[in-house]
Amino acid sequence: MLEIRNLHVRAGDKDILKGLSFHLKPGEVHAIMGPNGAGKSTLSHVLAGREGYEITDGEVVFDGKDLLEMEPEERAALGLFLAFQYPVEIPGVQTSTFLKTAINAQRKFRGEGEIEALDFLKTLKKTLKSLNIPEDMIKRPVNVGFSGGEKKRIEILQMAMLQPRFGILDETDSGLDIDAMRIVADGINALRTPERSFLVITHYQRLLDYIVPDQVHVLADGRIVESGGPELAKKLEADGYAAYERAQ
Amino acid sequence: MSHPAAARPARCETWKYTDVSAIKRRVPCHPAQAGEDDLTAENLPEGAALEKLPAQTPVPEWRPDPEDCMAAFWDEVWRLGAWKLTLPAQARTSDNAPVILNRGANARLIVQAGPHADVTVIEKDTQARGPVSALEGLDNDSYSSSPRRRGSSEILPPKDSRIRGNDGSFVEGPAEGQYGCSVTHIDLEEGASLRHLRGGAYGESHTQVETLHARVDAGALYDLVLAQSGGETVRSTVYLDLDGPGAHASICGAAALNGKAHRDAYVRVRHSAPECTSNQTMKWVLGGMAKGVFRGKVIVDPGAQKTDAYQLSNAVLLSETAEMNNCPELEIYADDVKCSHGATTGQIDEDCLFYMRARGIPRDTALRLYLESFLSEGLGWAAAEQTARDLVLPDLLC
Repeated sequence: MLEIRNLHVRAGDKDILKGLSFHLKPGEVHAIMGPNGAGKSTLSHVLAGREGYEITDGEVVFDGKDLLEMEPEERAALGLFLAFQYPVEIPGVQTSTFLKTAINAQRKFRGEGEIEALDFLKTLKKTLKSLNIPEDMIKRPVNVGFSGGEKKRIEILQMAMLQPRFGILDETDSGLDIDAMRIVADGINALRTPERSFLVITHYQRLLDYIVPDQVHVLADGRIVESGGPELAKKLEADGYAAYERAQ
Repeated sequence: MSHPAAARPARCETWKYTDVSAIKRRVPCHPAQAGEDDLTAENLPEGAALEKLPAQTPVPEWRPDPEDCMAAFWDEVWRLGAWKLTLPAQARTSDNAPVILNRGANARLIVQAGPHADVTVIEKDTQARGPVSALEGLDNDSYSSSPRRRGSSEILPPKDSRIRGNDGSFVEGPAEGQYGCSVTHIDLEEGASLRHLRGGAYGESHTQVETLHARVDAGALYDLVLAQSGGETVRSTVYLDLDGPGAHASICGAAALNGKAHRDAYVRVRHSAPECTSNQTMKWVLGGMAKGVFRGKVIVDPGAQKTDAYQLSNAVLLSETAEMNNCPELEIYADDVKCSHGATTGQIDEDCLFYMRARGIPRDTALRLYLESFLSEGLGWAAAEQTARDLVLPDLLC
């Protein structure tokens, strides 16, 4: 589904990613862990198409297509979803309106007709209930006045409504208390299918107790320095990242 | 009638950013041509009356800035004849049926609201010569690319810098100049509440100068929204006098400008009684070589204790040649008050655009949504009312 080969990325005059490679198959969940400044968020931004980065080498292939040649909206319409570490506030745009606009924009790109209003409302209500989000919250402007935990839940709501084929969760656990993390993790687990893949970016092993990954990669100084199973996350929790940082 | 002597191109602080002499040339003071000072009303509440006042009707009492070199000009314009909307005590409009005033660009109007009237008025300039889209003048540079391989080329189609008219056609050059000159007096008696939206979308050669004075009595509320777009030169002068204890005034404004448009909003709020509140919120979207000016002045008289006033102006510049001038002023002569002001001028929030694009919304749609959300904040109470929103936003973001 996603193949990253020797990815080099620069921001300004600083090299951030320095030859990152890994391969994600359909249905797999991979976790990227690493210390601050390792390049984790840069990776998520580059995959989603954020401006301000220069790809100096390497390639990213998503479902056989060159991801780096696409605009962010094309990537989204093809099934890539980024749950933001810091979701943006959009005053004046109701959350439900925003969701419907996004769904219809993706459908239009894929040559499909607009979603039926009733279908939209039905799915929305069901998803809100499963994520324990009050209905009046989606009548408010996108993320305006929401707490950190509420913003993260709205991110998962968007993911559930947009039904992507590949979800990137950029430090979705930050700012969440234990209960909120369980709700968010349950929401993500409910979306796991043999066709849908996830890349979970996190500092801590705690989230991975709820979302059990197939593989864990350690990202340090712009490269994957170690890969392993879920046990690697536990080892990192116990030992920290010092060994990887010393090795640079 | 000749030009009034009062419209002299003197050194005039309140008109510092907008050339009085140019207005004097563009706004001949003569009886308006047929239709230009017409005014019709829809949905008048029970007991309300709209009447045409004859020429030479005395000017209502008002208190412009002493240094306003155009004050006498407005009085002369007023004496050409005006409209009067009388709203009796306890008059009511429902949210779904606000009073709609369709007015010519030169209409003069007095609105007198009796005690505890509660009315919404949407005033629209029917002679506006077509809106101007601020989006048309967007700099190509602001269409930056997403992360790409080094060396890959991307040529972006140039955006058309011409101005799109109301009917969708392009205006190639300056059309015959149009002008409008309107004077409005608002008088709110005790406990009255008036939500007032003034909207208009002007063509690129239109000059509009207008002055509005409101007197707000004890416990009365006046919520004014200025939502105008386009025009070559548009200047709104707003004088608000909070005369009775507990009076409240709110002025919101949203403007979308392009080309060489010049939009100047001068708002002076005078707190003359204790425990009055006022706020000013202006939102600007400026493209091309457009120029925005906001001067917000709050005067707190001695004895107007417990005043609470703030003013805020936020602008988004869509091009490197657009310009915004903010000038907040506070004159406080009481010692137990809360007054604040703030102003920002920036570019499009690329983080916000990226967030929307990452959800599959194309850049053009995302930009429109972003600007609509930005301007919505300048629509105050009108942003929540679909009728007002429908009337104004399409003009602002045509």
